[in-house]
Formats: sequence, C-alpha cells, structure tokens
Amino acid sequence: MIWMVRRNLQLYFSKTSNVLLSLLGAIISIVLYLGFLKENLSSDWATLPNATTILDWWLIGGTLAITALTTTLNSLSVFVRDREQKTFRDLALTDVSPFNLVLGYLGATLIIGIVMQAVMFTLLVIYFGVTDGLAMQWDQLINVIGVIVLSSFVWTSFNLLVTSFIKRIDNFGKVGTILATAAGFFVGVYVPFGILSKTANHIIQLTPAPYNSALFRQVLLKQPILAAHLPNTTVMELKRKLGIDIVWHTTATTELGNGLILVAFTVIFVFCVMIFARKHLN
Amino acid sequence: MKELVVRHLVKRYQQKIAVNDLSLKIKGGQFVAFLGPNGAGKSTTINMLTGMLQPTSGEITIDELPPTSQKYRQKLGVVFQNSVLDDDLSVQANLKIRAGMYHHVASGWLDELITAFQLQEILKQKYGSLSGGQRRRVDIARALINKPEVLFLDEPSTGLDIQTRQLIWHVLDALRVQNAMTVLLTTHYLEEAQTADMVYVIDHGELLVADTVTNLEKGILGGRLTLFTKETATLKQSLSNKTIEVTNDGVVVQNIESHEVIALLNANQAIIDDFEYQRVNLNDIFIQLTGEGVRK
Repeated sequence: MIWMVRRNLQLYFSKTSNVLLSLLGAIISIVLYLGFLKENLSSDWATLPNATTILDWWLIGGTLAITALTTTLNSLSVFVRDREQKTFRDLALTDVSPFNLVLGYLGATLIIGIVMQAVMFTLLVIYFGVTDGLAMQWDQLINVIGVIVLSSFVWTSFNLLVTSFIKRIDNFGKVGTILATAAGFFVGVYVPFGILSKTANHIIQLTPAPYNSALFRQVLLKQPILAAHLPNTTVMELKRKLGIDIVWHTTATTELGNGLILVAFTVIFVFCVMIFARKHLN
Repeated sequence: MKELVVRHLVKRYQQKIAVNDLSLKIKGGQFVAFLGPNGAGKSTTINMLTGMLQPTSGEITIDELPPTSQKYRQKLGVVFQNSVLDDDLSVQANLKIRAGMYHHVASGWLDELITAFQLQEILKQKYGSLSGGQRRRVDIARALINKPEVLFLDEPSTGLDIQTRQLIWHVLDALRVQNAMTVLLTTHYLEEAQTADMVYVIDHGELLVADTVTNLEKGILGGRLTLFTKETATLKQSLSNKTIEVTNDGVVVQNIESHEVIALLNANQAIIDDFEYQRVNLNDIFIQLTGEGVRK
C-alpha cells in the first residue's frame, strides 16, 4: 500500500501544470478578491477598525476550503484513469489486494489535500503579511492544522463518491470543471453568503462546503473580531453576512457544531460509497 | 506450474458468444500460441485465464487453483495489449513501484531484467516519451518482475521492428529454459508462432485446431510453385494434370511436392526462364482454416 501511495503522490507532483490546474478554483478566488471584492467589502464594512485584517483572513478561510475540494478531486483522477486504461488490472496482479489499492488512492489523496492546503495557507499568509502587514496567529496554528486535516477527510470521501460513478477520464474532466467552479460559490468566497438569496443559501447548506469555510473562518477570525471591539449586533451581522457562522433560521453554528457536521458528512459519504458505489469500483 | 487446465469455457455477452466451449490442457514450460483473426475470442480467453474476466460457465485451474485465488494470480505475468504503466513517471520509477508492490522480488532480479532488455539508457526517461519498441521492452520487463510461472503475452509485438522482436524473443526463450516458464502468446505474426510447442487456432470463439506446427504443416501437401515463361501455352500443355492459374507474375501451381517440382523443371528446362518455390507455412494453414475474408 505504501508503494501505491508513493506512486500516486509522484503522479500528482510530477507535473507542475497538474498541480497548478488543481489550484485553479483557489487562484480564481484570490484574483477576484484582489481585483474587486476586497475593495467592495471594505467599503461595506468601513466602520470596522481592522477591516483589511478581517477580510484577508476571511479570504484565506474560503480559499483553503476550495483548495481542499479541488486538490483531492484532482488526485482521484488517477483512480478514474487507472480503471479506464486497465492499469488497475495490472496493479491488481501484484500482491497488493484491491481493497488496499483503493486505500492507496485514498491515502495519497488525503496527503495531497493536507499538503496543498498547508502550502496555500503559507503562501497567502506570507503574501498578505508583505502587502497588508497581516500578522500570523501562531496560537491558532494547531487549530488550523486540525481543520486542514478534517477538510481533507471530508473532500476525499466526497470525491471518492463522485469518482466511483465516473468511468471515463473525459467525463471526469467535465465533472471536475463543474465542481471546481461551483466550489467558489458554495464556500462563499466568490460571493459572500450575505448577498445570496435565502433559497441559494438553503441549497448551499445541504453540502459540507459552507461549514468547511465557516470553520476555517471561525478559527482565523476569532481574535481579529474580538480586537475590533464591536457591539454584539454588528458582530452577528458580520458573521452572518460573511459566512463566518452558518445561520439556520435563527441559530448560528458554533465551531464544534461545524466540526461535527463535517465529521457527519464524511461518515455519510463513506457509507454511500460502500452501499451505492461498491460495484462501480472495479 | 505443472498444468493449466481449461474445461468447457464459455463467455457470452448478451446475444454474442465470444468463447464457445473451449477446452484445453497446457503443460508447464510449454510455449503455446493462440492464433486467430481479429475478434476471434483470443483476448477474451486470455482475460479469463488471467482472472480479469468472469467466465459465463466452465472451469479454469492452474495446479488445481482457481483464477480467483491469490496464489493463482501470483503465478502470473501479463503483458497487456495496451500500455498500462504511468506515462508521467520515469521507466525506473515505474519498475521500482511495481517491484515494491510484490512481497518477494529477489534483489538484483530487477537489474538483470533491465540489462536483459537493454533499458539502462532509457531508465531516467519518462515512460510516455518512449518509442513503441522501448515501451514494449519495459512492459515485458514489468510482467517478469515477480518471476512468473506463466507469462501471458497479448499481441506483444504489434508494430515493432524486427530488432526489437528478436531481442524480446531472445530474452523470453532464455527465461523459458532457465525458469521453466510457460508462455502463452496471442499473435497475428505467424512466424512468431512458428517456434511454439503447440498452436491453438481459434475462430468465432471455438477451437479449430490444436497441434504442433510440424504436424499442421504436414497436413497440407506440398507447396506453391510459380513458373516464369514466355511460352505459356506450351507450359500449360505439359501441366495438364495439375490445377494451374495464369497470373501476371507467371504460371502458379498449388499443392505441388518438391520431387514433382524437380521433375517438372527438368522436363521443361528449355522454356522456363525462372521459378519460385514456396513450401507451405503457417500462413497458408491459417488462411485455410479461418478463410480469406476480412472480419466485419
């Protein structure tokens, strides 16, 4: 299994174009933010004393959630291609059992999700540190790493479910494009949730995406919001509009709530794979 | 491997029967060739023998083991029709990864394979950038990583130059002798089957003939004689007891044995400008068994 993980890691990282392509959704979110979203939102929240800091962390949270989704999806493309091109048959001839082969794909995908989020986080913190003087919150590092790992699990299980139904790499490309485009909206980074209609919000709340970005933002924005010394109502409005808490009717999700929702989604996806997709896997 | 036994093997796809009641017995260490036109059911048979396809009915065993067992699979090496290695990885990485996925690969064995198939110079190259012949050499080296007892080659030399084919067969023949490896080959190149211990001709999923090449060749009398002459009419007269055909090339006589040829040439020395005699070969047998028409 270790060799299978190694192989899949090598396949992902051997092509720079592949790595960049898997980050396209995240790159678009950054470009949109730098292009106009930052300016728009800053004028909306002009009363905030530290608007730039809050918005920069807000962007980082959403971008990490997209990164988790798209990089794990890209990593699983190898699984689809192996089945289409009969490479899976060749791999199954070795002493590694088919079950362990699948674990090999998953192991590599989890690692890729974690590594790419970590790389993205580092790059963004350095970039905003240089341009906006954003200070790294070292005391939150452990929490951030925890959320990165959890995100990788959620999206690996989600993408395994998606890819197990796809037989051809050609179709995989199409599905991948749709997912990567949708991701930016579903994590509320192309457009903040506050601007979207109620219906759109309800649909989005059926997926793990908003809870994932919200959890990142709750961790990253806790201190900056406290530092702003805002009245309670403003904090509530800020959290709701920017998708820092996800609001169901009147109750807002907590950090623990979002974490548990993500764990629940992971469990559901794994069950779905085992029930519905098992026969598609070979 | 002592024996590979196939009993009443059938594979049906909805309306179409791909393999129809195939039975055969292959002894360990033999070199066996499966011949047949495109779509005859050769690859389907190989896929069932390698455990990659479930038969509709029938039984396959190697030393009493069914294809579903891990031990059965461990005995196999398979060279697939299409490349199954990773284009984006180097030859070395590809081979190392596959070797890592087997429990017991003797140290030095991989290096022996690399030397035997002359892969040293392309080890660092990406597999995807290799030529057809280089790829095939790597594919076969990969199939031999676990020192298989049975090697399946599914049309391994399609599109390869003569040097590559010779190299491949030279190495495989040596291994066959050294390790008593059984080789099962499907091919369109009849000359590759010429050295096989046994030839199975398959068409429409059925076994037409199972015999040695020598016996098959004996089955058809004589060969084909082409005579070149300016006096076609005179020659035709002296060949009145034979079936002949006059073509642009010359006068063609089918199914004629060598001693008859000598007598004929002697008798007509004065009018024959030149001649060509071709003994019967596997090609003729193949055409005779499976027909001249192209498969639709």
